[in-house]
Amino acid sequence: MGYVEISRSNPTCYIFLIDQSGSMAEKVADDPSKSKADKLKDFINRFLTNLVVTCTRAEGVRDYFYVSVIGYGLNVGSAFIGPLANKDLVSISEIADKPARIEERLKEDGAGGVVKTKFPVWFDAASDGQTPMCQALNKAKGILEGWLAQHPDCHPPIVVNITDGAATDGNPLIPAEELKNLKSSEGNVLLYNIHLSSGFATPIKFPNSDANLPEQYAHLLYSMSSPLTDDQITYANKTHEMNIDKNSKGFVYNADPITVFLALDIGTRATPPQDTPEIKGDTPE
Amino acid sequence: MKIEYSHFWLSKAGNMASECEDAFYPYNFPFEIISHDQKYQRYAIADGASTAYLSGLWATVLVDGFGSYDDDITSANFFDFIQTLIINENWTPRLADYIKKREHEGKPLSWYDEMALQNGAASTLLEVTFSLDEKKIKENFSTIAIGDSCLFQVRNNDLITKFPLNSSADFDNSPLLISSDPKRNKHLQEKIAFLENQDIVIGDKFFLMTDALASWFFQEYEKEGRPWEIIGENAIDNSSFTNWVEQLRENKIMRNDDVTLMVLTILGD
Repeated sequence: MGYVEISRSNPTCYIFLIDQSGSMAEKVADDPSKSKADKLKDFINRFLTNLVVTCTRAEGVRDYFYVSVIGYGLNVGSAFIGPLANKDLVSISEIADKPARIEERLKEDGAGGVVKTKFPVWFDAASDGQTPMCQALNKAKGILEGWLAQHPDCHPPIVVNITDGAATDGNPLIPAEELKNLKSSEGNVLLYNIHLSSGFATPIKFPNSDANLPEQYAHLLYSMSSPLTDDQITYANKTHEMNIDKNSKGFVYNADPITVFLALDIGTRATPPQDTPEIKGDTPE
Repeated sequence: MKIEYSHFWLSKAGNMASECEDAFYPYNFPFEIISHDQKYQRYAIADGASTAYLSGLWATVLVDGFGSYDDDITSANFFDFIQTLIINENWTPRLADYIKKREHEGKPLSWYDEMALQNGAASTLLEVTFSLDEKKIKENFSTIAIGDSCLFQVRNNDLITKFPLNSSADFDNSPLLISSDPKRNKHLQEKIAFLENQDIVIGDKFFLMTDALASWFFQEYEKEGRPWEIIGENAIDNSSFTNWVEQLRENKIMRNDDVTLMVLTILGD
């Protein structure tokens, strides 16, 4: 069954829970110049950029989405910096107008050269402290309780938890279940989990059973994750030429950067305004 | 023979009329003004993609460019035509005007406008060409389509042409689109739909419509209905058309989207 169309009068929200614990300072296997936290920072900033551009029309940025980025490490709270610092949930038009800074980066131009491109930044890399995932899930729950009271008929909000380690503040399955029990008239809140790899292990993408998961922690994250929606499965199979089954979960394990990009792209695919062309975001650097 | 025509449009519910991203050509009705040496009489509609930036403007540039062109457009020169006449001569100056206007209004393009512009605008296109001889139309027509804006030809109360789609099952959320960025049009090469030398007789009616209405049209027809008769009863003026479309939307019979309809009737002289 398809969900209600996302519109300015009936927007939905995305919440990103970003692991900012000390282990995120480890370098990524395929790019020793960057830490996992650096890579994640780039992914989320790029995601926000693409989302803003997707919502941009001649008259301005349409508020189809509200977005929260919650960091968890030394503290648990909004990861936005600059004008949006300490804000839990921000409209996409406000995100558009208030990046902390706009960097310039080089990008391939498709003809063998490079061009300068703008790279807005809303939050920076951080890696300190433990992994208070339960607190982060509870924080998301609090935000969504308020959101759903005001938007009872919205497309189910999507929460994406990105982490490289186990929770240090309890069993995250309990707050995860509480979070997923929240719902709009369109359906329950969707919680997806992206587990970041520390090495060269083969990523496991969108499993539909826990039978072949390698360890206890993978089983836990699998249990916490919601199934992908029909729209997301159709999109993944068509656009990314995947072969995902109907009961597959929004969960990737041992994700390398490409897999993180893939999971973010598929996991945040929500029923868009009709007749949209495929506008693909930039691939990761 | 000559052509009488009418057009109707309605923006998506929840959007302002100025946000409608459909476009049509021509604007003079019920009869187009034809000059003595004119070779072709053309009609066009376009459906600007709802998620691409400035798609309404791009749709307008497309229908204006195709509709007012008075030479041959073939599969061989199609992309050259898009590049030279549509993009270089029309789109680029219109875009420059838009940017100047924004600056003049104290709202220069922001980083996200610039990035959205780089993605290009996108639109469907449906164009119908009638050949002229001494200001009278000859007995055939040709048509070009990219995407899911549809043409239906009705003769003696029978549907004799449906183009470019064949059934309600042919619609999906990612129709073919012409982009204002030529690099994004390479995949269209083999996919542009052409129909040439189709005959016409006095009394024929042509219905050009964007996808939400076209999908409804097919569904009615597939139920052995005569959707052209229902259109005839409801597309009398803009007010009756609006009431009818709003009712279809409310009853979930028609998807909520911008709607454009053009009706052409072939008359004797």
